[in-house]
Amino acid sequence: MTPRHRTKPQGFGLVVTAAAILWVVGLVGVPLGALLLAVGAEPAQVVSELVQQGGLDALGRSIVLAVFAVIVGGVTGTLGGIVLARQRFWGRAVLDVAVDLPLAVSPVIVGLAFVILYGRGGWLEPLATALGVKVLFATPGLFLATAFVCLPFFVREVALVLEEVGTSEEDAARTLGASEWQVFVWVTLPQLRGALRVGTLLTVARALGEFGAVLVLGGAIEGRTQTATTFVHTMMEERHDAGAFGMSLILAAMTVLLVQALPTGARTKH
Amino acid sequence: MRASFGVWICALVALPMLAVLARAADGGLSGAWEAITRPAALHALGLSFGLSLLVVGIDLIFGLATAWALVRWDFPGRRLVSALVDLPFAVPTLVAGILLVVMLGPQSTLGGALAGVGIDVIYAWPGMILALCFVTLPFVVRAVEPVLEELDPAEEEAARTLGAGEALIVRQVLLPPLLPALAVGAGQSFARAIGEFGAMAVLSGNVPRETLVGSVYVLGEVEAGDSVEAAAVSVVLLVVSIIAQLVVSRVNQPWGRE
Amino acid sequence: MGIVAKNLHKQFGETQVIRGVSLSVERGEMVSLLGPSGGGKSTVLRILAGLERADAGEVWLDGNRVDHLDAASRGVGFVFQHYALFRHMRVVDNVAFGLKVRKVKPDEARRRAEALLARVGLGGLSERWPDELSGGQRQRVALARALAPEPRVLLLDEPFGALDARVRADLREWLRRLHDEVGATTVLVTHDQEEALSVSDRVILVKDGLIEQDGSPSEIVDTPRTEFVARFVGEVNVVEGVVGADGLLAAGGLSMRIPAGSKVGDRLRAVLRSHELHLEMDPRGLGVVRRVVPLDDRARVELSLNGASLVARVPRADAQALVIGGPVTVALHEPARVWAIEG
Repeated sequence: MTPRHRTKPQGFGLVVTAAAILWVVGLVGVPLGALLLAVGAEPAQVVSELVQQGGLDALGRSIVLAVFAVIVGGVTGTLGGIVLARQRFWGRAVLDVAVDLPLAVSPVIVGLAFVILYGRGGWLEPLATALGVKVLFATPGLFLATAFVCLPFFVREVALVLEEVGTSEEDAARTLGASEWQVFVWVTLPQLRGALRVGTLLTVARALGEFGAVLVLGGAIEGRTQTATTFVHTMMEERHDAGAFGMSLILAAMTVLLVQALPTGARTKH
Repeated sequence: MRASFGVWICALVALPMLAVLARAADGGLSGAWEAITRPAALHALGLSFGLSLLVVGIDLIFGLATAWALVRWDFPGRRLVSALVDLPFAVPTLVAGILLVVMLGPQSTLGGALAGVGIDVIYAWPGMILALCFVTLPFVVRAVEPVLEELDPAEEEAARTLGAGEALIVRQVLLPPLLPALAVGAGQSFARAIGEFGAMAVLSGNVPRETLVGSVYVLGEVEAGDSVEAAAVSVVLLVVSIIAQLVVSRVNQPWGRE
Repeated sequence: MGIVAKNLHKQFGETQVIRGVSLSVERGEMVSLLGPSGGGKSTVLRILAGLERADAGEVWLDGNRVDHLDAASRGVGFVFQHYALFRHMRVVDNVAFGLKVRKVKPDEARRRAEALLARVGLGGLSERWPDELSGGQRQRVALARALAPEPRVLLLDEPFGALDARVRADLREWLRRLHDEVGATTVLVTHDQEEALSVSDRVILVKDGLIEQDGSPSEIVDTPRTEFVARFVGEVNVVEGVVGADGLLAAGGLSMRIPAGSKVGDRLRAVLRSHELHLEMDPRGLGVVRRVVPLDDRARVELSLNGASLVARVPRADAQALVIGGPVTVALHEPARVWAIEG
């Protein structure tokens, strides 16, 4: 293949390049700059609104949700990735599609679905009542919503890597006398290190940023179900712009860092 | 193992989705139809479709241009542009809405100036379109980029030595291998746009029959306690985005998985 | 008896990959499964190792029936075509893996792994990562890893398939020496006839899930049982002809004895191995020399005879006398092997 040399754009290329730069910088870069300026213009106001309106509490809750999502996603996703990549069975195709569903479903609909399921007359309402768990407008609802929207990341990463590396290393371990558990711990898991890292980053970003589902399911109750994103929403509605901008900047900064930690190519597979 | 994973997926994904379907059908088919065809609902759905299609169109043009610029040309700030393209993928969409409000809202310099000449951006269609472009920005670029990267420049050169003009090269040599990637990017963008909620909630103004989109309409119905209406409209959005998603996964794996 | 397989069958989806393969390997013997890719020989090997389950048939190792055992319990060493080294482990840990699994103490395992690495000629490389090694080195590590638990049976699946010709030739001589030292019962799968013939005590030709011939290298070369075997193990000329009234087959300008059961008028195909053709410059000769390619002590001669293109391998000394474009007579050293045309 002829090597590709990037050259300075000329003619038609210059026009297209200029348009692309304007588009991307104008759409993403300038607004980010504007937010920085807005927060920088009144830092004291931003901090005081963040503190007094319960912003720190909301941010803490979001971080707890993200950690939860990583743990649940890591365990079920590794399991699910292995099932999808390694096993052939009836219903696998359905499972395969179902795993990707959270990428396609609007967050509000996710919230609505759980409200219907656990709300008055819902299929699982009796179960939740029997267990003494309050799902709606309570922490379990936030957990459910977050687990749902983060579902695909670990499963997909794990399945992809397993399909790529194939089974020969695992087979080699078996012929050397390793039990299935030893194969998993000594061969499969180390192969998945990269996938689990990417899965973690994507899951954290998604969990921190989830809004629609936690709003509908949690109700954004201050001190109980308020998350970082619903805090921004509440602040906007209550005309506490400084608090909203401050939290937005925190979220933007955190997600920018997460994206930068991702290897190129792993960012938009989903 | 497969059984426990299957149960987990059923409980977490399938059951909730079925619950939405069941609730939508609570008032019978005619009830669901009536819920969807209520003028406010119809307008919200129509707006979501229209804006999403428009945004996919914009994405295709600018996404292709951006990918081409990134792959083909060397220009100052190339890495910055590349990094910026990835951001909307991770930045919460609600924050995306806030960003545009800060830049173009009525209190901002730019927004004030535009309002002065009679152009409302925020709480109006232009802002909504920009917000959807923001949240869907990476998809077409990142779908097309690897394909462009792999196109052998020799093919282009071969066409040129055979006397082909630029337009012919674009149509016959460059475009055909790009079509599947463009379809994937467009499908992902469309699915994302049709369900977009966070950015719309803060920046569309949410005026029924004007700037209220489908997802925010669903929220309104949930808050009003009408879960049947909300479910009916949701089913329409669900079906459309799932179709878009299926198209993406089909095109993505032309060689099949088995 | 080291390895016995009885009437193995295996189907993948709709495809019948193994259709009744039976073989036995003496303890300490080295046997090659030779054949074209897709013929099922790797599947046979994987069934012996327990990496695949046969649909029907039996596998016996050292007198014990093992069909019901999984790969981990069979105590078989396996070497994969693409090495299958654990890429997240250093070379020494790769080799020590089978010992670690067997609960050998870490320093003892390490000592034995180092010793094995020294034995396969990779003494200084134990702290390297697999991707820092060349293909040939990786394959030696894979072999050391398979040998570490001291298996009674060693199975090699196209072990040199991914290496270039030079390294391959070196490694296979080395493998044979190692086999003689270690003495494990060895089965080698390969599609390279030269490799199979030069390294093993016995060669089993596998095609389309069936055994075509099972014999010593000289039996395979000298008395191929089928046309397929004859064509697979050497450079050959294939000529077609009709049995004449004199009871001889006339094909490609040559006359040949016919196999029992053929009669006048039958169309037959003869396979002439290139080294069986004898050439002599002769003004009355019907053949024309087209090209002479010098090889080591022989030369490869391309010629045409009555419109057919033939290849002969002759001693270099004989080739010196040949003139390009010159007429030659073509004769057969020994009776050609003739098969009826199928279909």
